[in-house]
Amino acid sequence: MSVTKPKRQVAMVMDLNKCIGCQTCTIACKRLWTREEGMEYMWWNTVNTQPGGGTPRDWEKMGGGFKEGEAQSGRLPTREDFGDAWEFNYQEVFYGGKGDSVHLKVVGEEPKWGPNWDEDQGAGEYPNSYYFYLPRICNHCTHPACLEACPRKAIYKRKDDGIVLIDDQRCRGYRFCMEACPYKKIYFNEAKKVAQKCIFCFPRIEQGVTTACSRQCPGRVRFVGYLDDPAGPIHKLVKQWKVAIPLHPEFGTEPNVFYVPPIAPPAFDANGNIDETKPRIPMEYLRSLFGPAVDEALATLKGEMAKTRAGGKSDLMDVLIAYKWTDMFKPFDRDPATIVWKT
Amino acid sequence: MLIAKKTGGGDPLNPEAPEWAQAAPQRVTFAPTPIGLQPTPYIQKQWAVKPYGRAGHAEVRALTDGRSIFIRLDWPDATEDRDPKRIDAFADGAAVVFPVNGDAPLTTMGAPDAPVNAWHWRADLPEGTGRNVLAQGIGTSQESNASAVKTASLWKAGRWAVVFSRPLHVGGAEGGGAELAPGAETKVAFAVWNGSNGERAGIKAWSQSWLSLRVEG
Repeated sequence: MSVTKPKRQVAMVMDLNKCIGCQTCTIACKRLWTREEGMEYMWWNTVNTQPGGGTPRDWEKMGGGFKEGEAQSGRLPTREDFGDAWEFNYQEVFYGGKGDSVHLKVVGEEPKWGPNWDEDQGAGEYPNSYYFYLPRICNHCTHPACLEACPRKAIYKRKDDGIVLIDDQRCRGYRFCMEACPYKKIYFNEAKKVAQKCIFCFPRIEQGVTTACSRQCPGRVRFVGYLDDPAGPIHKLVKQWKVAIPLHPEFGTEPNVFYVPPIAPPAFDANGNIDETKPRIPMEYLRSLFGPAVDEALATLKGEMAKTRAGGKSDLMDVLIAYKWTDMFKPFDRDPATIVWKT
Repeated sequence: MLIAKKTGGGDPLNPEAPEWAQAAPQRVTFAPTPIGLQPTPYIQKQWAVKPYGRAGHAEVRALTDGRSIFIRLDWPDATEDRDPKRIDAFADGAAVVFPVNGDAPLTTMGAPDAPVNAWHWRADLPEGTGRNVLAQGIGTSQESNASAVKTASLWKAGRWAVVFSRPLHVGGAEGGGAELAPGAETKVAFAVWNGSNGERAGIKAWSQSWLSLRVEG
């Protein structure tokens, strides 16, 4: 089945040069959306260290998406792949009078993976070791593999803003969407027996308030807005400057979440001297994540940085620096505290 | 022809009820649903080379007490997949399908002007419950009159025995299902899902065509 193109598309840009891996976005999302029974293990927003296994573990090798327009087979992640919601021995340590003798630990089987298991490990040999953080949400794709895989038409793309939602009244928990999503950003709620995922905070968006993950971000990493709004930052970064690019464009789903790729510091040569010609993050690795467009994006970023260093002015740098925080979300810059929310 | 034998008393919803000895079993041959009829390209691609729908056959029996009908399916399944509680595992299931108004295409699960009524049992539904749905084409099923269908299930030695029951009279499509009556004849079809093989939705074993069912008066 084909998707009707929405009138407008809301989109997000994440500047990876600013992400400090603090997980404030992750917790903002968790507290707002995934606190019910069956959602314990869900993290609609994740931040993982790259290179790394990610969430769920090795999701990039699980298949799904499209190749030359044709749907590709995918596999279902397991709960262990996602990393379970661990129970801790709080009772024993804090209230059992054993605070001096028992350490805080996971109850039951020792976990072998978690949603942020390989934090800060990265890759490379000292002194050229490297890593960066990669926050991820549902990409609210233009060509959503989940929507097109569902036999019940339980997934839809909203006309007015292109947000992709699962109708849990129609969902029967068949999980074809989870197999088909190449980003593995859909979770299964075992209590309700339905699939669930990031909803791009649509009740906030409808009120002119940006997503919780973007508004709570201390690093000012995330921009939110309409892709076609020339006055907004998204259009400038994605369309005009082309410095924000999708993750794994080869998956064929056309994500509406874009990334400003990380600018690596220069590498050290064998004598311990800085070699300006070599970035510490191998370009090959960045190309494997963001495709060939990453070369041009980084070149543009470096060019504009050089301009400002020489005392010049760069519109691009001004957008990325985000002097005025709320400009990052226009027109979704309304203060949520001004709204009386119906519960 | 499958005949819903008239019986008095007892509890035919229980697969182990002695009344089931009165009902002559009919062997229904199953085949995998055609891959070309799977509703999305993803499902077609994923299952093109993977075997499914291999239950082979079921034994079907039916009883009526004059008010309700009881339909029982027995089929081989090596594993009891009740409620796997795993993201990557699925429950077993079974379904009985009727045309709502005399006739309807089975292959497409009904049509816009010819709905079908399906009674679903899935091993992970709350005990005793069933799902009553109306469909007017593949992927269109809507739940209605949810409490009308009751089920009971028993897995023993590599075989499922599942009994569906529903009042004969529900008021037709407006009452949420196919109308049945003592002395009347209708068409009926069956399907089963093997959860441990990942079978769900259109990936199932089915009876391929309508059979006839007569409710004894």
